[in-house]
Amino acid sequence: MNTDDLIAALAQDTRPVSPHAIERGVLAALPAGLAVSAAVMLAWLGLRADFATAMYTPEFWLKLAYPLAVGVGALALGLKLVRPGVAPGARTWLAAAPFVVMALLGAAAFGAARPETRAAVWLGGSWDLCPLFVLALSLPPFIALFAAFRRAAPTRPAWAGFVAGLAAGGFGAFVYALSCDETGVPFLATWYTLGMLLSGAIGGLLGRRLLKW
Amino acid sequence: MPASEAVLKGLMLRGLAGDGAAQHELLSELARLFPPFFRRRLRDGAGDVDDLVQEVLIAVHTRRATYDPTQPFTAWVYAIARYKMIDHVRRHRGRVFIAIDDAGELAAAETADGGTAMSDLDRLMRELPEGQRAAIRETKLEGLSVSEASARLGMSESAVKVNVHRGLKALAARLGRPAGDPDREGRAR
Repeated sequence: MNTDDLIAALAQDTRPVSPHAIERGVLAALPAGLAVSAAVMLAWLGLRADFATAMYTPEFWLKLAYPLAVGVGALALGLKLVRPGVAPGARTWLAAAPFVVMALLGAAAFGAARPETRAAVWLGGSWDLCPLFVLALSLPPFIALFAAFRRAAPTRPAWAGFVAGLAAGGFGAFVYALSCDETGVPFLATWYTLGMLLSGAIGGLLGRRLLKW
Repeated sequence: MPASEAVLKGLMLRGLAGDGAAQHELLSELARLFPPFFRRRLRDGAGDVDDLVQEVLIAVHTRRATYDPTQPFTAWVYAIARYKMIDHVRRHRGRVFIAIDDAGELAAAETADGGTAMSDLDRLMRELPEGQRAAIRETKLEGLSVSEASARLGMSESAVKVNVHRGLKALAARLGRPAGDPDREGRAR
């Protein structure tokens, strides 16, 4: 096709575009993903049995806050990565910060635990299942975020895919935290982190293909 | 003469508001801007360059929601062009020859730092006399050869060389660096 004809054809279809269309698309996709994830959790795993009493412990809130911070931080970074020519700047560090804080808290709690209880606070009763549940519940937000990112323009598709996967992992882990009754901070720092990073890694692998434009 | 950041950004903003005529003008400007950019980087047939320019135009149009109006337009559009070029090179691996001294540019990360650097450069360049500014723009930024630039600017080749040399020296002085580098560059051209 001749370039002048192409330009005429493209320019003919010039509809107004909101400067926040990208953010709106991502933020519209997310609640749907979270809702599906929550429904799957309730039907499949159920809320934790001690929900009413656990609510009054700091670990309960830490377990919600950590994945939520990962999800929000990665999402904020992702929104920069899908715009060509925009430096993510401090958002890269903000996205990494929850991991650093949690690693320190986990190490401190592990160190403070009596040696004979260390295995229990670290491995709990579900260390081998936790990352897989996190990964499974990440799938709905994963699909929602990938669909939204595909409409944008990430110039580093694998990196954007990793960050989208990480955000989905954070939201999936947030939903899982309402079901999981582990209380160890080292447990949270290890196995939740592993589940979220798995989702990120899958995002990176798929992003290379799916987020090309 | 290539349109400036301010002009292109103005057209882009009007296009985003739904102004088809502005969008048409923007795409036409870009269709003039990018062939030299790609030609310098892909030492290959002109057919590839045309394909690539069209791909950039389509991306600029269909992905225009990803432009953030608080950012420099050139940072956005060159990031798209670089992305499309890398993609193009990957798809035609083995067929496209990239000059080795351009390999670093291909690998360079595309960020607003580039845009900031670009606008800093714009500001410094504005302080130069028009002849020096035009000579530097054509040879150093657009990547034309001295003879192409001389034809385009209607300046003799030696005038282009002298203007590039003096302009780079003036820029270096403003950046507070010794003028050694532009000197060497000036002679090499």
